[in-house]
Amino acid sequence: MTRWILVWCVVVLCGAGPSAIAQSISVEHGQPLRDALEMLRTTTALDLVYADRLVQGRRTACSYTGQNARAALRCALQDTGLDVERIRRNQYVLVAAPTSSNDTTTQTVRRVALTGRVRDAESGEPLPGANVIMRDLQAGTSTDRNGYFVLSSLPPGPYRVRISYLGYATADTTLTAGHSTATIDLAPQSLDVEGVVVDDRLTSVAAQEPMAGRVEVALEQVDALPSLGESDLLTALQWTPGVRRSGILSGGLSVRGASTDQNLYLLEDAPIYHPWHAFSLISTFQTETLKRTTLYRSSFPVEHGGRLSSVVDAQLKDGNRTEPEARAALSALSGRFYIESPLSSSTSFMVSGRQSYIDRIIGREHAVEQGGRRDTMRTGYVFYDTSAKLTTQFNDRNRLSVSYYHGRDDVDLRLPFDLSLDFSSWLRPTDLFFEVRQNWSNRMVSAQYQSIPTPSVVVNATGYYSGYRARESSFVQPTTAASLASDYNVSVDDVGLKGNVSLYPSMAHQWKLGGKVAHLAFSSALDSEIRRTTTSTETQAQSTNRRAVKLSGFAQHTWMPTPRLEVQSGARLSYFSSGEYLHVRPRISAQYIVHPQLLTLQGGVSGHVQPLHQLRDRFSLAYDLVSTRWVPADRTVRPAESWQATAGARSRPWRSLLVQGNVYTRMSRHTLIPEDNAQTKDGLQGPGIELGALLGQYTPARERAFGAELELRWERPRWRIQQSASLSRTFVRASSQNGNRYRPADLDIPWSTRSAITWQPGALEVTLAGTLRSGYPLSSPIARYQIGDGTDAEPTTFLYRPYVNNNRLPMYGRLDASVGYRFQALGAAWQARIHVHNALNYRNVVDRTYEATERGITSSDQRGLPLLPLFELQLSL
Amino acid sequence: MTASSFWTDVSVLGGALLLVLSVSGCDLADFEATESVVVEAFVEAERPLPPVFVRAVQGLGETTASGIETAQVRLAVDDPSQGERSVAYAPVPGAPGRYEPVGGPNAVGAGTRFRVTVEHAGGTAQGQSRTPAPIRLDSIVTSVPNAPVEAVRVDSLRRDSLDIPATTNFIYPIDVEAYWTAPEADTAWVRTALRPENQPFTPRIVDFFIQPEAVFQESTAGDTDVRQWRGVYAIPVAEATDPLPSHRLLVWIARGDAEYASFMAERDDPDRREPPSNVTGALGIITGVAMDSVEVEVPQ
Repeated sequence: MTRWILVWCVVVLCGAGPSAIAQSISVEHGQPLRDALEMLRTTTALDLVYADRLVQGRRTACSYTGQNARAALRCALQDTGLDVERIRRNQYVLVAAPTSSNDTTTQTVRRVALTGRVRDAESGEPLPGANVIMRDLQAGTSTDRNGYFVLSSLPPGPYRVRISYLGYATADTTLTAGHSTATIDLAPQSLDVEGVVVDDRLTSVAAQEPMAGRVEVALEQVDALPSLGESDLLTALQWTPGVRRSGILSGGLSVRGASTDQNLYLLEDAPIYHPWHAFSLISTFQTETLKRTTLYRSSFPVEHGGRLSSVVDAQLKDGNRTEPEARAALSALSGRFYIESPLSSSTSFMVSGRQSYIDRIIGREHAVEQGGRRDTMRTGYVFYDTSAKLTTQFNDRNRLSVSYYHGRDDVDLRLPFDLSLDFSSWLRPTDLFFEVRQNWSNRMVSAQYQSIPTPSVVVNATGYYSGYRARESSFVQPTTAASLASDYNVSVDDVGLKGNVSLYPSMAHQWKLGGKVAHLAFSSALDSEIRRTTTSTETQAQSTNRRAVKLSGFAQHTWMPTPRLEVQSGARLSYFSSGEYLHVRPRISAQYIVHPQLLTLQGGVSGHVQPLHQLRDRFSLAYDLVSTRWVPADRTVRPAESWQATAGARSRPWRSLLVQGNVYTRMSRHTLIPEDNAQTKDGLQGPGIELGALLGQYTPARERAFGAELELRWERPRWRIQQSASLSRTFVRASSQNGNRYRPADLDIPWSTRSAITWQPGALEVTLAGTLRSGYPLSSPIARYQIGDGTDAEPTTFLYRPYVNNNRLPMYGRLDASVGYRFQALGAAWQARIHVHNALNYRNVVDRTYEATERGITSSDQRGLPLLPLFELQLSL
Repeated sequence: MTASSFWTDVSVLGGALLLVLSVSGCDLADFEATESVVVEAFVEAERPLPPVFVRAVQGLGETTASGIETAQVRLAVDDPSQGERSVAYAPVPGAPGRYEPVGGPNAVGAGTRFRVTVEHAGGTAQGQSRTPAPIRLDSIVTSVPNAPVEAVRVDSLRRDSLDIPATTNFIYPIDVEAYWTAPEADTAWVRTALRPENQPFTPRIVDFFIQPEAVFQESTAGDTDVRQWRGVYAIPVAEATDPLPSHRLLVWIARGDAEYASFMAERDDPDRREPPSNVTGALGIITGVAMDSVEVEVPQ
C-alpha cells in the first residue's frame, strides 16, 4: 500500500508542472522594446524583470525568427544600450549596458545582497518567518528567527519588495540592493479589519521552507480555542491534523500515530525532556511568552535530529523594545504575569511567571484533632513556571540573547484511605494513611548568539543546559503492622553547544552547515522498604548511572533554479557514544508552485535516528508513576530508526479559503513496545529500576504508518472555520506478539475529524470546537476456557486474548465551547473567558475491562470527564 | 496552469485520498484462527500417573460444559532402561473432560522425559516435559501476633469515580516459614502457597502487603541445601479484642521447570490474561511437577 502512495507522490510531483510546447518566436526590427520583451515573457519560459524607465522609448534594432528564446532576447536588446543579468535559470534583470565595451572588467556587473530585518512596529520584536517577496523577480525568502533576511547576488539597484506576516499589515516598499541592512517595521493589524489578508504567506510565492508537514502555530489564535482553563500551546497543536494527545486529557502528544517519546520539544534551541504540568493536563509552554512556534511533522530540517516523529520548535519573545508592557491573568488553574520592557535602545527583556493556586484555596497543611489525637494532613499541589529572556542587539551584525526557564510540579499529600465524597472524613487523625510526595521539574539556560560577518554569511551559535528532575516518595500504611516506604529519583542532564553557518552565494543557492556536541547524563535511584508484618521486612536499594556524548553535523543545500521550484537536500551525521552508533541520514524536500494561488506541491524523504528511549516500569505501584525515564541506546538496545516520505498540496481557490492536504508514510525499526500488553502496575514490587530489568519489560518492534490529512481554513473578518480530517494507520510488529504479524499500534486511530468555528463580532468571541474519531485499539477476549493448576482445586476460567489490539473502543466524540469578552475598565484592558469542556456532557468510553461470569462475559466501561466549565480572566496594562 | 489541468491534479489527489480511505477503514491485521482445545497434564515423579484433562475453548456466550469426551489421549514415557512406553488414557464416565490411564506403569521416575498426545476432531495436540526431583516440606513455622491489627478496607478502586469510601476492620497477619531440601541440580522453579481453610477475604489494598503465594527460582531461596520461603496470610476478625480463630492451614509447594513457573506466575488475573501455553496444537500445560503439602493447625 505504502509503495503505491509513494508512486502516486512521484507521479504527481513529476507530472504536475505545465507542459512546455516549443513555438516560434519572432522579433521584428523597429518594434517597441517593451512590446518585444512582453512578447518574450508571455511566449517563452523567460522571466524578465525591468524598470519601465529603462525600456521607455527604445526600439529593437534587430529581427529574429526561430525557437531559441535567449537568441531572441539577445536580438531584442542589441544596440539598445541595455543588457541582461541572469539571476537564476530563465530569470533575468535588465540593466544599462556598460559604457566601455573594450573594458572587459566593467562588463561584469557587481553582484550585491539585499538585506533587512523585519520587526513589529509597536514592540520592535523581530518577526521570524516573515515573507519577503521581490515582486518583480517573483522570488523571495523568509526571515530567520531573528528577523533577518538576505536576497543575494543581485545587480545593485532598487527593488520593489513586499513583506507580509500573519496578523500584520502587509508592507510594500522599495529596498536597494547593496545598501546597508534595512529595517522594516510591520504594523500589527486586527484580524477583524475588513480586507486584511490573514495569512498572506499562502497566497504568494514566498520561498518558505519546502517542508510538507510544517506548521507555523498561529499563537494569537490559540487563545480562542477551548482548553482546560487556560490557553495552552501543546493542547492547541491537537487542532493540527495528525496530532493528538495519547490520553484524553493527559499523556504526551502523538504525531501521526507515533509514540509520545518520538517528539522533540525545543525551547530556545534547548531540548525540554518533560514539557508537562499537572499530570500532563497542560504543557510547560506559556503561549504569551512565545514569539514563534513551529511544528514539523515527519519531515524536519536537517539541523534537527534525535527524534523520529516531530519537532516542536518554540522561541521566547525578546521583550518590547519601545515601551514597557505588563499583563496579568487568572484562570481556573493558575495565576500568571508577563512583563516586557526595553532597557536601552538595543536591549530588552521579558520575564513571566505562572503558578497554580489550588493549594491556596484548599490549604497545604491541615492540623486535625479528634478524640484527643492530633495529626497533620496535607493536601498540597502546586505547579509553577518562570521564564526570562534578555536580548541585546550590539549592532546590525551582532546579537545575543540569554534565556532561562524553570518549571516545577510539587505534590504533597498525607491523607486517610477514605476518599469518599464526604470530605470531612479526609481530615481526621488516623493510623492508616498514605503519604505521597512527588515533584518533577525542568530547568533550561540558553545563550544564543548571531553574527553576520558579511551580508551573505550568517553565523548562529547556541550553548545550553537542560535538566530534568523527578522524585517520587511515598509511605503507605494500610494496616498498623504493614507499610511501604519508597524513595525514587530520576534525572537527565543535557549540556550542549551547537552552531551553524548559513551562506547565500546567489539567489539560486543557499548552504547551511552546522554541528552539535552534547553531553548527557542519566541517573535513577530507588530505596524501598516493605514491611508485611511486624517481623517481615524487605528492602530494595538500586541505582543506575549512564553517560553519553552525542555528536552531530549536517550540511544542507537549498536550490531554487526557478521562482517556482525549491529543492532542499542535505545529510545529517550523528554519533552516539553509548554503543558507538554512527549514522548518516539524508533529507530531501522540494516545493513546486504550480500556480501561486491554486496549487503548491511539496514533498520530501528523510531518515531519522533516535538514540533515546522513554520507558516506564510496568509492574510497581511504588515508582515510575509520573516521572519520565529516558534510557540511552547501548550495545544491547539499538537506537530507533525511521525512514519517512511525505507529500502535500496546498491551494487557496478563494482568498478566504485555504485547503491543504498531505500524505505520508513512515517505516521504523528498533522502537520499543511493551513485551506484555496486559501487564499493568498492580504490585508493590517490580523487577527493579536497573536497566536490564526495565528493558526486559519491552521488546524491539518494527512500525509502519501511512495516512492522508486534509485541512480547510475559511477566514473572514468575523468568522473563522477550521476543519481537519485524518485517515491514518499505524501498525507495529514484534516477534513475541500476534505471531510476528503487524497489528494496530496502541495509538492507532484510523480516522479522525476536528472542527472549530469562531465568531468574533467585536468584543465578543465565541468558539465551538468538536472532535470525532475512532476509538483507540483494545485487546478484547475472543473466547474463554478452563484450566486447573495441578491440585484438586476447581479449574479457573480464563478469558482468552490471543491477540493484542484486536478490537476498538467505541467512537469518541466531544464538543467544547469557549466564550470570551474584551472590555476596558479601571484604565486597563480586560479579557474574560469561559471554557466549557464536553459541553454536551457526553460520557465517552475511554477504557473497557472484561470479566468472566458463569453465563459468559461482562464488560465495564471507564468514562471520560463530564461537562466542565472553567474560567479565565486577563488584565493588560 | 489551465483550469482543466488544475482539476486533473485535484482528481488525482482525490483518488489518492479515496485509496487511503479504503485502506484505513479496515484493520489490515486479520487474525488467524485460534486453538479450540485445552489440555492439562501435571505428571509427578514416583506418583501414580495423573489424570489428563481435555476441554474445549468456549465462545464468550457459551454455557455448555467444556469437557471433551471423545478425544484419544496417550502418554509416552521415555524410560532409559526400557525405551519408550506408551500409556493409553480413557475418559472417566460422569466427569466430562477427565481422562485416566488404562494399564501401563503405575508411576514414572524422577528425571524422566514424557510426551502427551491428544487427538480430537482431526487435530493433534502434543506437549512434552520432564519430571523433576521430588520435593518435600521439612518443617513449617508459624508466627501469630498477640493481637489483631487495624486494616483498611477500600471497597472501590474505580478510576472514574471520585467516591472511594473506606472502612476499617481487623486482621491477624500470620507469618509462615516453610523449609525444604534442594536437590543437587538446582535449576528448578518453585511455587508456594498458603491456603487457610475457607480462604478468608482480604481487601485489595491489604492483598498488596500479604504474600500467600510466590513463584521463584529455587536457587534464590537460600545458600545451603536447606531452602526457605516466608509468606504472610491474613485472617480477619470483627473486633480488636477478638482472638485468632483456630483454623487449619495448608502449606503447599511444587517444583517444576521454567514453563511451569511461567504458567503459574501468570494465573493471577484470569479476566485480563491467560497463562502461557506450552502445548503444540492446543492451549494448556503439559509439564512435569513435584508437589508436597502439609496441613497444620494454627491454634488460637
